Amino acid sequence: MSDLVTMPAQASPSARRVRSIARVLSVDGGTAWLEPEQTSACGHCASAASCGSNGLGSSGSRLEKRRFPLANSADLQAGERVVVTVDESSLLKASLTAYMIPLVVAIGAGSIAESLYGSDLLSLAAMSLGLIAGLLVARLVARRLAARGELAPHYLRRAAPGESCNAD
Amino acid sequence: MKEMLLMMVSAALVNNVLLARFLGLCPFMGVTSRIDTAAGMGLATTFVMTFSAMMDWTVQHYLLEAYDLGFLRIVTFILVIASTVQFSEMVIRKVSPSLFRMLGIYLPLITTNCAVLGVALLVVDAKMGFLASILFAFASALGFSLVMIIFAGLRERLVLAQVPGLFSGAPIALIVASLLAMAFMGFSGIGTI
Repeated sequence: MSDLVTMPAQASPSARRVRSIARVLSVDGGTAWLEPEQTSACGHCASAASCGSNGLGSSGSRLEKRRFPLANSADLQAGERVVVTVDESSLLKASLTAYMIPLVVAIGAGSIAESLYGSDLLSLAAMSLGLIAGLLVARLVARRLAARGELAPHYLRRAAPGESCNAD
Repeated sequence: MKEMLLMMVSAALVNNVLLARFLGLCPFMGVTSRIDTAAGMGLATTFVMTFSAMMDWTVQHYLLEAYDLGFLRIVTFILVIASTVQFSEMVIRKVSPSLFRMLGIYLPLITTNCAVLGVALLVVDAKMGFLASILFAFASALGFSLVMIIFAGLRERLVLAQVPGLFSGAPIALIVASLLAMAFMGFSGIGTI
């Protein structure tokens, strides 16, 4: 499965979309690698002390983990800032897939074990196994969503100088 | 079964973590400007709150109570919640990098969410069994998500409303939050825990 974005540059105007600014890090053939731009709020919230500014768990390392490829149909160059969008419904589908599927399967397994054996320890074991099974199901669903291009950001346009994701 | 259902309704609506217990107010004000982000945050919190309750219940019964270490409860629970968040982040990244790229931002924010710790402590104080603890945490988290989404919807409409300059922004949001809390008081009397 490839994470490469293959969607057309102009997305459906009817869908509600979430916009974000990303910076082009490098261009590799027909693929541009982008990193979400750190918002001004990063490093200023209540978690800033635990987040830190360097090393594992810092906002920098988190952004690095969230780098994503984009089909370079607009001849993007390294260092450029672009506006990317994601369908609002995709965000909801992704949340349901990542969090609710494992949760519901795990709770279902725990409830069945509790009603059958009435033992806390067995319910705990069943819930742990249910979590693993739920994550595997979530993986399959996520693959299907990714194959349809629903989990990938779409290129919208180049960002204006000084434009931020909160501008509109 | 009936008691379990009543407990879940109570946890979600009557004793809502946000509007009755006033826990987790940071994301309530900070992540409710849009419905999609509020829903994402709500679902991520549901996941973490439920599995943290599971881990905290296990640690409480098989470690803290067994070795008479109750005085370490809060420190231990904070550590367990932070570990659960980190573990969830790693697992989601491994299971689906695409999902992680889209949702990875929510999980670190939950580490400092006091609602997660509050629910874990409530579960232990009520001396619930394993399944009751899990369902209580799950229902509490669903109530949290429900209020987040309702409030985000109201705030999206507030942007379009003509509000006097003095009240625009945070003041009108807080007034709406108080009206929402009063509306949820209407659930009082259904059941308590």
